[in-house]
Amino acid sequence: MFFARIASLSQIGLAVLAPALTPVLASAPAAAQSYPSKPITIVEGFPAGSGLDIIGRIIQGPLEKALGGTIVFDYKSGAGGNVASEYVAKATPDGYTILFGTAGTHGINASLYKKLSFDVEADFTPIGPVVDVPNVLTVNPKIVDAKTVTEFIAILKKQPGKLNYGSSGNGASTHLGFAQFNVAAGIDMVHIPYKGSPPAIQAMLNGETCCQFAQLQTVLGQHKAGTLRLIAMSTSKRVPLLPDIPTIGETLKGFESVTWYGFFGPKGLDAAIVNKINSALKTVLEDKEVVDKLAAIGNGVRYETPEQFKATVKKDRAQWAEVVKKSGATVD
Amino acid sequence: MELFGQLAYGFELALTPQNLLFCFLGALIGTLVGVLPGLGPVATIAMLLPITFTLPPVAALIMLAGLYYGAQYGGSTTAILVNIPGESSSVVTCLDGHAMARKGRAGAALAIAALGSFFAGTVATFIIAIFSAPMVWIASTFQSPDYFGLMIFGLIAAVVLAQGSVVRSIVMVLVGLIIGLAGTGITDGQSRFTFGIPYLSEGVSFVALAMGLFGVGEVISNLARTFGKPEVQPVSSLWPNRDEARRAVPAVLRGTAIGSILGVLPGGGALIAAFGAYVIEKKWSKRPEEFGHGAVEGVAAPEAANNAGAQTSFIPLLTLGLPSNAVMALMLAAMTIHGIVPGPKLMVERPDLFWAMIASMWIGNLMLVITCPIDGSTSQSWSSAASAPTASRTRRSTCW
Amino acid sequence: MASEDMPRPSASSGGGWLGKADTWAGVATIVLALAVIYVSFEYGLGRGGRIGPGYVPLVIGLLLLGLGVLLVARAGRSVDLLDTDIAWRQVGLVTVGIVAFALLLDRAGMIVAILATVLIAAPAAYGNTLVSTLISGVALAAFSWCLFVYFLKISIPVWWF
Repeated sequence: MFFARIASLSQIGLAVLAPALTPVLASAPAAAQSYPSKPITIVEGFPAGSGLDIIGRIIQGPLEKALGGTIVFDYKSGAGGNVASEYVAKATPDGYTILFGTAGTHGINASLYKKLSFDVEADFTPIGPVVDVPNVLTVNPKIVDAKTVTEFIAILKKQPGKLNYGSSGNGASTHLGFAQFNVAAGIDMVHIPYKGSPPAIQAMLNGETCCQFAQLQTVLGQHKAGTLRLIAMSTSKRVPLLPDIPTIGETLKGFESVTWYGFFGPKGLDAAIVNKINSALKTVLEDKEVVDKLAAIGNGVRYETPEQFKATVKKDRAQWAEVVKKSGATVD
Repeated sequence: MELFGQLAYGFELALTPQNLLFCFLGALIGTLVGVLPGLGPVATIAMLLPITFTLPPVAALIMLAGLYYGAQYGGSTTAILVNIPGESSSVVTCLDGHAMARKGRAGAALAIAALGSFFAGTVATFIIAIFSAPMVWIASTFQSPDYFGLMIFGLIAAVVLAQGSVVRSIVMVLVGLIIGLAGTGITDGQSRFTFGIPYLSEGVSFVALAMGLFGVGEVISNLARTFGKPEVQPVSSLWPNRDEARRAVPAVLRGTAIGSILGVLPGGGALIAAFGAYVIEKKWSKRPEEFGHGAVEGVAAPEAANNAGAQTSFIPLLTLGLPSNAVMALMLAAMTIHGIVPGPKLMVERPDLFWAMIASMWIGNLMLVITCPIDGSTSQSWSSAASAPTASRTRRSTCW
Repeated sequence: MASEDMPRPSASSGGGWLGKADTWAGVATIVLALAVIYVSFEYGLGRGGRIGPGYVPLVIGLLLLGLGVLLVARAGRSVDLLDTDIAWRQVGLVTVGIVAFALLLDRAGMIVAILATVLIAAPAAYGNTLVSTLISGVALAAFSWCLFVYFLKISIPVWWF
């Protein structure tokens, strides 16, 4: 306690001195060169332990090594990740506040939420994606005993509007991906949102829902035990972890619903810093150990340059906007 | 018998010096964060996650599990001594635990809570070891209508356990429902009662609410009545007297049974278990008028129930791979990061992890109950340190 | 929670309809109920088969309204007297302290917020001197800094810059 007080008193001393010194010390080029000179805060729009968090934790160590600085995670969950997005959009663009965003926060939410206080493109500097997260069409074989997408569609067509599909939340990629599938396959089902993926999977297990789009890692355990059946991936290519499972696109031509996770800075982030983080990401995503760890839970690494990532965000925003419009989903 | 072989295997793993150390560390840190109001196990486990990367998975999970039930012990300590529930499930303990403390029976209340929790923890550990499969079957038959029924039971229980006017209790239950509606609606995504504040989009935080109702309320009433001096009598004797012990035993048994069953339910049955156990005690008691004024059963039953529930809430995680609350979600994340896929096959694929965790739970509970006297006296100093600036500490916790 | 256990001398021992606790509990309930009902109409009530977001609030609001009226109507027979002996000084200062903390944390940082809260709330307890208040404020700020910023590395603004 005594030392604490000393520490605090010296903080007070610093507080008096620091404002006087800051203008002298801070100049832009030097900032980029010495970056990172203090811990980098990575903001996540979902609670600790979420799928996003797991990816963040896996790359944390290697990324710290590649950047030569410490990384701290900050969870600001709420409104489908918008609380965190808003926070970062309004943060100082010094490279010390970075958003770990998703195709949900930057693709879906832009059209799902009617009033956002920020623009997902104009108010952010895209830095680079990290992983592709496949959604997988999962069924409870006791309710819908389908083994292929064709069988699944045939069973569903016989009973329109009768069966329920679950999702991890209203407007989540698991919801809109399935809505997109419904439109593409021409089937009619009732959507039941749950609060997060564990209750949604629980509901599928006890038969409340027949099926859902699930993030691969959340159903791997059930898949191994045979209690749930994975029918097809939503990705354009098969997932290396489970090469026997086809993609939906092999049956429904052109169907693809991928979600990625990636880093964003506030708008006006110095290009030198963006490139520094991006090249650190490149190093990390080429590290075999990281690739294997991510692959073991079904995620594929995804590396893009900042420019490519910017184009991805633009394209996905437009694509999800269409899905949102067709599905009629809204969130206020 | 196979079971004893497996349990012995688990103990063998859990009793290695390294695992024993992490079990102790987890339980110790857990108790400390449980005592600090507002800093719950979720925040702590989230912060400790990076440290666990460098540990072998078994040691890491043993430590995190220890942190979780350690916090349950710590949470009831503050509930009894300063009327601030450290954890949502210790809210019920506040009612009679703090009343006992004000009568100078804080030591007895702490001992009953600790011994009751230990007993419940022991039983629940065996339940996990033996009855996981049937328990999961019960949980998996639970559908939305059943949850609705359980919720209604909880609300009625809340009315029953309130003192005074029934009409006013019902009004308060309805006001609670209105507060609970705040946030983004799950089915339609409509924000209700958020007044445009994004922080409310996830609803009103339970910790903040409990802190405001219990903590701030307690601070104000203390200031008004006793001119700022804490009202708790010194912990006179740590041991319950014969009469108290006689009343506590059957209550602990009932609480354990209720907690073990409800804890398995995904969605956090431990809180409802604590409420349910309290109501049943009050209804069955020959002296219902004592409840709220320091009834021993009112501490023993809910404490046993919430600890049993906390323990059995590991069952859905270990056997289905489905976390039933925020702490379990973090445990799941820890497993995933270590490359372990939790699910129905866990027991077969990683028997070492499964049985070592179960054995360590019992060891951890034993450690906690042995350190209880120390814990009692440290928390006494914690709480006297806390009583002057509780106001400020309380408010701090409402922020996260 | 604690205060209801002990009977406290009531200032208005006169009784009468206006002196009953239930009367005012009822009035408060009715006001809240009306606000809830009003808001729930904005959310859309939906249809019987698929209820809208305003349906549940409306039902709860109507129930509250009924119970509020019941409370007022039966207040005459109630024995609970209105307790006007409210510790305004304590309630006010502690509340203002908390609000100040909430407002200052993001703008002025944790240290200033804690000091401000302690300074505002301290006069609620009798016997606090300026020196003792300052000491406990600084100690608490230091403790919080050590625990939350130094050890736990929670990202909270420590200062205003």
